[in-house]
Amino acid sequence: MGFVVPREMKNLEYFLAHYLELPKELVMGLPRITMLGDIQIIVENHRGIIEYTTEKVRIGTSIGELHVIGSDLALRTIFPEEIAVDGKIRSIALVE
Amino acid sequence: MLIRGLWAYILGFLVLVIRGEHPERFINLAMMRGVVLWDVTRVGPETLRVKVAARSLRPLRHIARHTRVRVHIRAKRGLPFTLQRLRRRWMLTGGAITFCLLLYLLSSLIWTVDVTGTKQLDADRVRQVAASAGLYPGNLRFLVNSKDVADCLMRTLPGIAFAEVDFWGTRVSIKIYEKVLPEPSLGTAHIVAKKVGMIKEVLVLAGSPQVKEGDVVHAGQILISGVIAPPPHPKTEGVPQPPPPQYEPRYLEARGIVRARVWYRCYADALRDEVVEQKTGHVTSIVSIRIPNREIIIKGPPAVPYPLYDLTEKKRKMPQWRNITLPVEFVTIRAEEIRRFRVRRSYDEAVRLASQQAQSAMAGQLSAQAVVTQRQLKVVDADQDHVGVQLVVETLEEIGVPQQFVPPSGR
Repeated sequence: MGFVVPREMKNLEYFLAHYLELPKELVMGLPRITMLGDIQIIVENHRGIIEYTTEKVRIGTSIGELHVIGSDLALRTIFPEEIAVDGKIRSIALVE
Repeated sequence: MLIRGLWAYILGFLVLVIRGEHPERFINLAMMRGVVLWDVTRVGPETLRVKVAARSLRPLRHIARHTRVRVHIRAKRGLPFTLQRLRRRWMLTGGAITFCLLLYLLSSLIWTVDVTGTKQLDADRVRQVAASAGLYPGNLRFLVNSKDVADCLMRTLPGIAFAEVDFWGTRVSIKIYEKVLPEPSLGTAHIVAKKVGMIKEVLVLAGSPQVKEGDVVHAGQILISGVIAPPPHPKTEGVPQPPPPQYEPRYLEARGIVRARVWYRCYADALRDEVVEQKTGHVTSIVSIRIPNREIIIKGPPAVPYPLYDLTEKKRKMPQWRNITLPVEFVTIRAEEIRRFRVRRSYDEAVRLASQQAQSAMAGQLSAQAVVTQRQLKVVDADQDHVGVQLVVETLEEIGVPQQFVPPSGR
């Protein structure tokens, strides 16, 4: 299951992005995850929210699910291109 | 973030409560449709609270039906809703606006006019003139130009040297500086000595001198007389002569300068063993409001925390209006800590201290015009406990003062 990217193709994307100095998250469709200390996390290039509770937020991305675990979590903003999660963040994990 | 919040406030936004089994689906779908949600918080199992722009409610209803969640509006916030509420309660709005206008109007009126600095002049007359220039209680403040009023006062009232008009809120204070006119002539007067001295020089402008250089005069003695005696008759022996014409003595106001050497003596002593007080540099200030029978401390400890201290107290009262004074005072107390300790002075130190005291006591006795010509310091008595010094200063100063007299009504 899942969309398997051919190896050459992936290398080509990486090559282009690397040598033409293009933003890799755009060329390769990767999520850009920005953390501000332990109080905010901003995920760009996401694929929607899978689960949301005050202790756990699961956000879909192209490379799997991003798990954010903490307390008093809130979704500060939700845009098609960006999600900001506020609260006290204890751990984050990428789960394939 | 602030800009977005501001826009949301201006356009109006809703606080929604979403109940359903999968609120995440609702969020995702809303996001796909381009509805921006923010401040999403979970308030309970299967319940979310979200904020959304007011105009996005219609598409949200559609999404809610699709994802089987129920949407309730918890609150409506922002400018459009506030305006709507205010339109419904127009009396409140009107009252607030009327209040502001009234406050502005009343605070731009002149309520009281204070006149200070009048001595010869009548304060009511000053008020009248100021009123003719537009400065009277009840007039609008911005119609009155303080410079014009001051000019008018100076032009109209000749006894004024300078006038100052200041606006203090609704109160206007007019400060008058009156002209100081030269003293009127005394008529007939002598010049007498005001203190004991030895005459150094006499300069007569009018009158007849009664003393010469080197004379010792006492206080009250006439130095320059205002009486000019008739010239003496020429005396010739034997020959009978017609009676000489009767000259009357002339009376006038004597004027002139009489300088004399004056001596001052001053004694001061200093203890060789003494307990002195010194400030330690620790300062406590207490700010309080004092009303009858009570004191409310705003800043600082309730009592001065030093065993020995020096107090300076500043009181400020609310301005008086008519004859009503508020019994409220703002009191600022400044306490400086003091330390006492014994000192043992050497002979030289005691002499220096005593002479300093004598100097400062002397400074109080001397008049500003006196020129010190000689100064002599002498240790008068000294023993184990104290040292006494005597300072003698010789000055050259003017000792003449006019003294009026009534000429004998002759004839």
